[in-house]
Amino acid sequence: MNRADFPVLVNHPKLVYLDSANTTLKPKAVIDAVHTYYADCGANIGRATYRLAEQATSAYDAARHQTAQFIGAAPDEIIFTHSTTYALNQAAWGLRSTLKSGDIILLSDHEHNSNIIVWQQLAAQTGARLAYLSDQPPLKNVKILAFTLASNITGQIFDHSKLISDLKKTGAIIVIDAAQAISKMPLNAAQLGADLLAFSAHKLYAPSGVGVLYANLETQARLTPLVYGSQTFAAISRQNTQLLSNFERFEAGTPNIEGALGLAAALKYLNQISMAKVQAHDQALVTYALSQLQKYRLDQYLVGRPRCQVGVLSLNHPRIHPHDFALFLDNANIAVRAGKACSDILMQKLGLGRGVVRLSFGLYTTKSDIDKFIAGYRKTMERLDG
Amino acid sequence: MDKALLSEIVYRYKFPKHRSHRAKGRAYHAENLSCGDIITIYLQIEKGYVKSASYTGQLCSIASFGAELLLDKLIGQPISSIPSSADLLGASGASLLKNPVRLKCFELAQLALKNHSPL
Ligand SMILES: Cc1ncc(COP(=O)(O)O)c(C=O)c1O
Repeated sequence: MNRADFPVLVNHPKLVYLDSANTTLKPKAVIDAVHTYYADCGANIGRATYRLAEQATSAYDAARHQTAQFIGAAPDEIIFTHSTTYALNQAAWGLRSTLKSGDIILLSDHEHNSNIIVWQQLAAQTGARLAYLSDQPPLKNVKILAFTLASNITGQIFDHSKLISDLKKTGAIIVIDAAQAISKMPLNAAQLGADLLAFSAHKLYAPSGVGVLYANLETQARLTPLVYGSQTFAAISRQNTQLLSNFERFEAGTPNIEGALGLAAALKYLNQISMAKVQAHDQALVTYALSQLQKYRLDQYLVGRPRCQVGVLSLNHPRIHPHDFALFLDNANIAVRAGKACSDILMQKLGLGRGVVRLSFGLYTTKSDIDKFIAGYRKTMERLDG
Repeated sequence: MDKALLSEIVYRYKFPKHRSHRAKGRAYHAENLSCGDIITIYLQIEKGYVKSASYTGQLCSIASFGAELLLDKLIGQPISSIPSSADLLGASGASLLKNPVRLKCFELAQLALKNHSPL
């Protein structure tokens, strides 16, 4: 796809950016949308009644509609937050009153720290117990299942549909972390069985500071807001506030308006390409990367061999430190993530105390980027281990 | 990072002067929790002077470099203070001094001594 659409790549023509799982670069259309909001509108949403404010409000509403459409949801199922982390916090703390001592919060063994720590805190405060899928806890006590749809380390796509349908029968709430999956494939939140689903705009070619929590209406009704403030209520008196019953009660205060408009521009950009093509591009890169790693016998260093994965791959060399790879790759203008990549629990389980070297793909990634990565990886091996 | 500095780092990584498994003296230990690197420095101090020094550990090239330069500076000298990164790196280390994440690696050896002051 088109590198020319991404100003960072235009401004750094030699850059090989293989860190899209960390954050994606932004197409010009997204940067323009943010600029246009500030240059042509600038007003706050939801409050004032002059035309510029109405323009801002309707653009923000349109962003919510587009976001909903992108995941096969209705606009009132979309809660704008600041990030996946914030969305997962809203999900977790919002469910606090539904938990009691002895309940189980079930996580997969592949979670990002953002989808672990908050549940640990919630468990500690409610007397619920945290369990991981590998613990095989009794399902009857599971009240919440929270898992990532795609691993930020191995790229593995997880299909927990059987578990989800078993748990749904017992009334458990299903929370899906779609931070990695969202930019990689067409998604439908309800079809996945999600009651709550979280993702960040910045991993979807849009600005940072915007996240999304999809919440179906049934779950939304059980959810308590994480933050209170203006624009959330139907009536207010000196002692009490009657909160709105819809998504608005979760969006107190002025949101990241320009970020949401940037997200709308990113979704438009992606829809113009089509998510099916985005997925095909990502899968072609995975196939190519795996074949090249095999060709140069680097596949022995791969962490995990999922049968089904997105464009995220991690390597673990037995002797060379991930940070050393990152240092030498950086000197060759190749940007990768090195270390535990916010997945400390998985790293402990895999015995990878120093983490991994992770390469991850985006719309702008080319086969030549992968070739350059492999050349850089091999050269680092020669220099440090030769 | 500066190419000359990188070459120096690689050279000391491949041909370390002070990395040794013959531990002599008191051990000083530090760990970088974020990346799992560990170092143990062994110092033999006599009459206030560092008579011998060596280190072992699981270290990235920059952390090894930090240990190498630190021990270069300490051996044979009175143990009065722990040199700073700027002292150890000098002008040629500017690109590392400006990188706070990797400077933490470089300073792991210094941290080991600061943790359990030999002064
Ligand atoms: C799987 C997964 N979950 C959650 C997050 C947290 O996202 P954010 O930092 O945007 O809140 C990330 C980011 O790396 C991720 O990869």
